[in-house]
Amino acid sequence: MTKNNDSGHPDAASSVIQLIGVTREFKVSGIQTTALDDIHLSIKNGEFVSVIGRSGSGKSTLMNMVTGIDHPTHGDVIVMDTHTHQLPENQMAAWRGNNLGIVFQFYQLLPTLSLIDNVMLPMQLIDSKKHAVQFERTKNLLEAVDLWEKKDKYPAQLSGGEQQRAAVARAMANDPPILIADEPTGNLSSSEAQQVMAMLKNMVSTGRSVVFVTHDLELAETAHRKITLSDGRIIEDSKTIHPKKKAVKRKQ
Amino acid sequence: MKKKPAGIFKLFRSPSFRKIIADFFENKSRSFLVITSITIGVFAVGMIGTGYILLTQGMAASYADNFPANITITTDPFNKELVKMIARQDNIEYVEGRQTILLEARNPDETKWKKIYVTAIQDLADTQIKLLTPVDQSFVLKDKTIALLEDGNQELNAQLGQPLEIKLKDGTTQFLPVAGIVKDYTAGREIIFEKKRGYITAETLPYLHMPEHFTTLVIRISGDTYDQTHIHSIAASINKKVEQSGRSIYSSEIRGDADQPFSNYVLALGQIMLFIGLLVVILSSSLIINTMNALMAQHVRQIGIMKLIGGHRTRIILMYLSLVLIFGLISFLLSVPTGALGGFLMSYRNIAVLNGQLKTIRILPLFPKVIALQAFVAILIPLAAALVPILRGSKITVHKALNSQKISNGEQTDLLNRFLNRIDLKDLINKLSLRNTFRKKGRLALTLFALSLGGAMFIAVFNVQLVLLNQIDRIVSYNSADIVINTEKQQRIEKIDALVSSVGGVEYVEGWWTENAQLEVGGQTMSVSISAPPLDSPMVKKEVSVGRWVLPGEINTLAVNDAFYNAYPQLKPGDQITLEIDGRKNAWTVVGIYNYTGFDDKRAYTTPESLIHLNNDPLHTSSFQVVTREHDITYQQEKVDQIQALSDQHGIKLARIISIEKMLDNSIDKINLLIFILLLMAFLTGSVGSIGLSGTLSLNVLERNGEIGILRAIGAGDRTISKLVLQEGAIIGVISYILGVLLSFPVSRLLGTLVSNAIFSAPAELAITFKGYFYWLILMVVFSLAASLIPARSAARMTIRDVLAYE
Repeated sequence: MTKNNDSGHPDAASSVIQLIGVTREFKVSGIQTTALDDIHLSIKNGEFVSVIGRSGSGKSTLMNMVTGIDHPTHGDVIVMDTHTHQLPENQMAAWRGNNLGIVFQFYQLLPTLSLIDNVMLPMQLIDSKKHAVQFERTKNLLEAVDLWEKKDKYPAQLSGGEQQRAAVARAMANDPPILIADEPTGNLSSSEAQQVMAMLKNMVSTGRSVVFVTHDLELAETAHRKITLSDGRIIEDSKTIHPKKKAVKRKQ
Repeated sequence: MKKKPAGIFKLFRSPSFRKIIADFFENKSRSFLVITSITIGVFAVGMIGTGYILLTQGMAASYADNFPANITITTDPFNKELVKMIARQDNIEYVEGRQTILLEARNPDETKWKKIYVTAIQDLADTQIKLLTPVDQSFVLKDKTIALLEDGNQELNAQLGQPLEIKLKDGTTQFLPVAGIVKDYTAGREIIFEKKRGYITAETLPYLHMPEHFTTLVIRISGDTYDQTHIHSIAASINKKVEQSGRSIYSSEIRGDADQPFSNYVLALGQIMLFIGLLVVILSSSLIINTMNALMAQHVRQIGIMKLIGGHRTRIILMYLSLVLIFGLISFLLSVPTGALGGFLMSYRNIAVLNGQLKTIRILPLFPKVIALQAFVAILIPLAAALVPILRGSKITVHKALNSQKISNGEQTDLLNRFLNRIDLKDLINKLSLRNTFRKKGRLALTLFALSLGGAMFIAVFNVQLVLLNQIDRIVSYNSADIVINTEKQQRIEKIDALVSSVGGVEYVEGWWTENAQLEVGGQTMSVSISAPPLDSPMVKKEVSVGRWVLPGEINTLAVNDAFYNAYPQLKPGDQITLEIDGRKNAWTVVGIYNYTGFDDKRAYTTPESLIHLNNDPLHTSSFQVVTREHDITYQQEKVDQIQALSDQHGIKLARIISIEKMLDNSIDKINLLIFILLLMAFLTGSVGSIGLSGTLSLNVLERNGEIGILRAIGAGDRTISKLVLQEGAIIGVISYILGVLLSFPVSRLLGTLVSNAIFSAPAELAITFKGYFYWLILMVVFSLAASLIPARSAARMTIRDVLAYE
């Protein structure tokens, strides 16, 4: 089993996400369960990473560590040079709003707000910029996901794919350097899934780090790097062929 | 082989029962909320029922057990011969003579003299009527000693065993040792006029330089002392006997043993408490409906799974009804002792104001009827309230139940939502608060119902207080005197006018002619007080609700008060009634009816000519009305003392001198008791509303924990989450305040009518005061904040992991 990344130690210089000896244990009905076991992981700036594993392998727990939704029993979680597991909940929320964009399997849009309001809300929570500036940014985001014409619609009036695209736009509201997506295509048709994955790839091309969880092997292979989990451990951390390198090879 | 568990133990070990218990403990705040909602209603029923029974039983017993007078006749002075003659009449159980004189008394250590009515009782040692109850220890009232009424002694400040200095009519003083402090549970409304009263033997009268005669006959009849018709017929024959002895009857009062003089207040209290108790039960039922709706919504997946594994709908319904039954049983067990204690405290505190005494002192008085009613309210009403949510919730299909998503994506197409969607608020958290408020419309409606009705009730209490005070003002305004004087004998009007006017601060004195008449209706004889002020008198408000006032020169015409409707429900101007005055019957024409409700006291105004025509001397009378410069109670009392002193100096004996404000003060005592209880009940209804609001917000937070998680995921801090919930509470508070204000008008009218009918036997006009609206606004702010703080705090403390963790 491979515990560490290919260089042996996390590359501290350009790592945006670092998990150092992270273990997460739960006690369920008196029985100790280890969801993550001594994970060492480093994700660099601009990486496009998939996390794959069977149900119960620990992939969602891993994501919870990165997003600060959960905290490790042992070890360190450092995201954008911040030891996020040490932040109190209140500060974590604000930090998360600035540094992470999260896309959920079930979209998780607020049903009583229109699309435009859903996308603008994170800006209001974190940013004190004027309404006009926020409005302009929201317009750009919704245009980028091809939903500006439906800006006044409510989530219940949209298809699954449209909702997920809106969720991606919301995740980008505060221009975070890292995007985390938990089964982003789990509830979508294949065409909708392709659209969403294309969007995520586009985020990478703009210099962001994108990490997504999937159970779909084919989808996982589309990322630059694939991390496979089993029983709370990383059993494979392999780089797939980088698309740029692929292009260079073809030229040659 | 293991023995199979028998009966009840089998039940306890069954998975279904364990699920019910698990559901109970699953959400402790929800269970606490439901139990509190039910308990408040059941407690209210227990407190009201117990309090009412204790009050009525206590008042009835303390009155009847002391052998009240069934007939009380005030007449010209008489001696024991008349008493013996009356005693020989049919159906007379016991008769006694008494004399009440107005004197002045003081604690020898003090300087100020205070008015006191002293009643001399014939054969006090052997009396079998209107018994006095010693407060601390029994005593024998000997000659030349005095027993004092406890209520009045607080002002007199006399000490047991110490002498009380008495100023006699001739200006000299005597000392009477205080032999005992007593309660008179058979006292009539005269204690409204003056609480300072003392009791002496008839043999003490010469010691006080008073003739040893009597002016009042107090009579107990034999036979049914509860039968009004029986008592009236005996009274009629006794009145005749008295008149045949050459005496005039000044008043003839009839009371059955059930007619405790202040029982109308208890009736009013009972009606009001029943009304409010019902309201509290209805409000708490609405909370149960809300909570059960939420519980069923939260259990949708569980119900789906139960159906999937073979559970049929009936079984599911019974399981949830069993849960409600457990809530009800716990509430019942909590409410029975607390309701009994509450009822005891309420009646213990207030029965003395109504001149009664509790029959027994039991801190937890348990009455089977009250407990049965509490059981009904604790168990059957919650089951009925929960039935619809349970039936609806259990109807869900397996497919729907198992596919319910974490965050519901409800349609936003109804009219209200379309209206809300048009409200464009720049602050999205404000927008979210506003829309969240209206998401669960049924739940919101029930919460608003409870809060606004509670508010309407609270506001109405203050309006009703004003209604009652206005009613008293209206009663008093028919006669604008500050002081009323009755002399023992007819006096020359000019003489009294000059004498009383010489007191500084007296603005005006007027002599009125008066008569006491008897009215016979349906075999019953009633007293009627007739007054004839001078026709140009500025002291009478000549307003009638029907017909007109009497006109100068008319003979035998009357403007009567609306208490006459009790005898003649269809009475109208032009009708004739027969009145007996001094043994002579005459027909009188009713020309007008005015609003002067005063405890079924029948009063009428006529022209001076009508009474002068009946042997009244135009220059003499025994009734005088005095207007003073200032009208407050202290000033009036000061003038009363001065007039009394001056009358004594000039040898004019006063039968009665009363300050109107003092009389009102004593009446207002009882009204304030009513208002206190109303406020208590109103506060209870308001509290139910507040619990409802807190419950609603808690349920909303619970159901929206997914959304709270999302807000945290996109950067919302504690403050933002708290703000969301607090604003929702504030919006609901504002809406319910507005609705409460609107509802307060019909509720005030209804409550005012109820109370006024009970006390004054007549409805009253609606009156509005801003006090209630202002106080409810403050309470609403406090309630909304208090109700929102806990859910807001719990929402802010939710960690994102609690609500969004997947594995």
